[in-house]
Amino acid sequence: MNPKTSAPKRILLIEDEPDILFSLKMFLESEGFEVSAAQNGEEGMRILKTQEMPQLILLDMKMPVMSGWDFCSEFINTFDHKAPLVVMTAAADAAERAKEAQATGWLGKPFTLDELVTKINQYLKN
Amino acid sequence: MTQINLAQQLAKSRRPLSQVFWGIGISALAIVIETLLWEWVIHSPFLILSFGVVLSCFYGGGLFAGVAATFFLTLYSFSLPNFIHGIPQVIFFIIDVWGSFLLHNYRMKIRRLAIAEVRAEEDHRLRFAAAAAKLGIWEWDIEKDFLTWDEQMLAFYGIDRESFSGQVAAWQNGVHPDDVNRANEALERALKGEQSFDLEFRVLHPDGQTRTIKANGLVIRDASGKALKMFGLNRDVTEEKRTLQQIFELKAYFEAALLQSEAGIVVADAPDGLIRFANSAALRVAGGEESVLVKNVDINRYGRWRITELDGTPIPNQDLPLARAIRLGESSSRELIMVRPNGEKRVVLSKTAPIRREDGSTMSGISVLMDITEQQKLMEDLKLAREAAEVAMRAKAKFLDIAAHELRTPVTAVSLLAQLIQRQIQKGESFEPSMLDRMRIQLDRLSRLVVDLLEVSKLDRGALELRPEITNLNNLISDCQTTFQFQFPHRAITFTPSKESAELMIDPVKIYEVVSNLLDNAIKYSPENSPIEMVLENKSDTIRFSIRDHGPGLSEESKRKLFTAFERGAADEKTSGLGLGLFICRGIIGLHKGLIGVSSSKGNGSTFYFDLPKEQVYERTGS
Repeated sequence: MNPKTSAPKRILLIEDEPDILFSLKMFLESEGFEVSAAQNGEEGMRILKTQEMPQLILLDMKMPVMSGWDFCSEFINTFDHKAPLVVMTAAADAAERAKEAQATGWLGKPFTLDELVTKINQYLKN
Repeated sequence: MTQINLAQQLAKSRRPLSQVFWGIGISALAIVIETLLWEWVIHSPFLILSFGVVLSCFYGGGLFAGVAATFFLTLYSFSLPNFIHGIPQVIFFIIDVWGSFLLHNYRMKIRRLAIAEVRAEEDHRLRFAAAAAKLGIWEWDIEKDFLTWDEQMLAFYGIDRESFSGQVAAWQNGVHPDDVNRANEALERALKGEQSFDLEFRVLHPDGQTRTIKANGLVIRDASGKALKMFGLNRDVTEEKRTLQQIFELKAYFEAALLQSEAGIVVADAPDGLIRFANSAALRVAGGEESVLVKNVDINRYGRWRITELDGTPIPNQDLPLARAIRLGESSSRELIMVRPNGEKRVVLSKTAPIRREDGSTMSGISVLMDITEQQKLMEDLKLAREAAEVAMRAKAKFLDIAAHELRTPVTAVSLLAQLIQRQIQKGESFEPSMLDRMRIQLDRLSRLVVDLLEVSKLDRGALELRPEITNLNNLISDCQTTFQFQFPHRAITFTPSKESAELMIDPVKIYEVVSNLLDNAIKYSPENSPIEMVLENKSDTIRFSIRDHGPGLSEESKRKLFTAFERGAADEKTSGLGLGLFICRGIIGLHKGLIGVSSSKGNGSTFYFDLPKEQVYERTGS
């Protein structure tokens, strides 16, 4: 993958834990992505409604104000053209929860940056 | 009896005197007829004589009447004017008497034959009836010691006609050796007229078989009272006795079973439902006296048992299970309440059924009562315990899920930060030192979580130990205030210390943990510009610490769950943290024999407080 050759891909990152948000934003930007960051589902929804649909959404599940669950259902109900939605969860039954929330894919916390890159590439290619 | 009647009939004979009157009567009748037919009679005087004899023999009823009639008519014929007197007259008289005698004999013979026929028929009928009824007939001529047995008698004694001696000894030989004395005595007494012959004895057959015989007999006596004959019957009552014995044994078994039964048993008879029997278990269940619950108690008095539905609705007498079984033939199995005289209520399982006769009609009703009060209570307790265990288990599972999540979050953050730093170093770039701070803070958070978890685990197992020492609470809270004020310089945190001494024997580390936990919560859950007020007060037996915030306040539901472990996690997906803080606080205060609580209402902020006793009643567990 070489996002620098074409227009930069945009990723919406929704995560309430500031350190994780900080790290992921810094990493993804260093990888050449354009990152929109939100601290909860509501903020994420606001970004989606005011900006263009990103190429990928990375979503934490457990958040204050609007949880990943609520975000998922609203996202599915609101938008026709949807970006792939990858949930990041620390729950033991991550796969099941992702399926229940009708997410495209999932990442179990903690994950490595390599795993993250692999996942992002997988969904951007599709 | 029939035989005796026949004998009496045979013995009966007409008295000669009455026959003489018959003779006079018939003579008078003959004279009247002669007077009427005078012209004809004077030429034939024999006719009148013969007429009288025939009349007297056949209708007068006897030899003497005939002789008397002939005599009177002969006397009369002498008085007739033209009658031939002398020898021929005497000859006629003799012929007449002779004829009269023959006629009498003929008549008597016919009569005897008739009686014999009747007697034979009666005898036959008797024997036939005896055979059908399996009765043995015997007759004993006492004088001659001549004993007569019919075939049935021989069968009863297990001997044949050839070996039967025909003497009373044959009977005595047949009677069982153990009973023979008693039988002989009974016979003696019957002969003496002291007692009727009516006894039961065993007979021992030559083949060793034993049967039981019931014997009855009558003694025939002459005018002087001397015993002449005995007649009687034997009956084999072995089966009857055996059946009776079986019935008796069965009755004994049933009675023992009913009496010994741990279940209460009540039996009442149709149609009025009179209680016939109630075992002691039934009386125990009802908690009443037999005289009250059983004596003269019919359907209309069933109310003495004080029975209601499970919900306490009284049941009319007519509708109680036993009453329905008797009245309607209804079987039932239902739970009821029995109210004891002392008001105690027992839950009783009543299984009731009618007892029917062979023709299907209801003879009685039976109720089996089982006191299931304890059982029910146990089941109820068990159910509650199981439910509580399930709730606890679910809460724990959920808690573990949340704990895993909470532990993974700082691990994820640290891991990501470390990977970033590593990459930057690999690329030869410099990294922001704040990233190391972030890592340290996350690790602290992780460490706190682990400590909390350990503490909860210890509390759960009752293994948390205190290290008490004399501590000044005023100073302890003041220290805590200073620390937090340093961390949150913009929050207004005030502390009003106790005016009196606040020195207590407590574990300062743990109590500090409680105060800092409460203060941390107050800061977290109230607006940034709102003040937080801490107060330490001296009460009579306790010292109270309270901390008031101006946050949103708590619902009743939240207040209830606040101090419970594994509960808060279930609250929602939005809150982070394990929510163990207040549970740990309660545990620590509990170990100090203190109390922790909250007063709060929606919109008015919350005041958390704990009271510590001045007397150190807890045990010093640490060293």
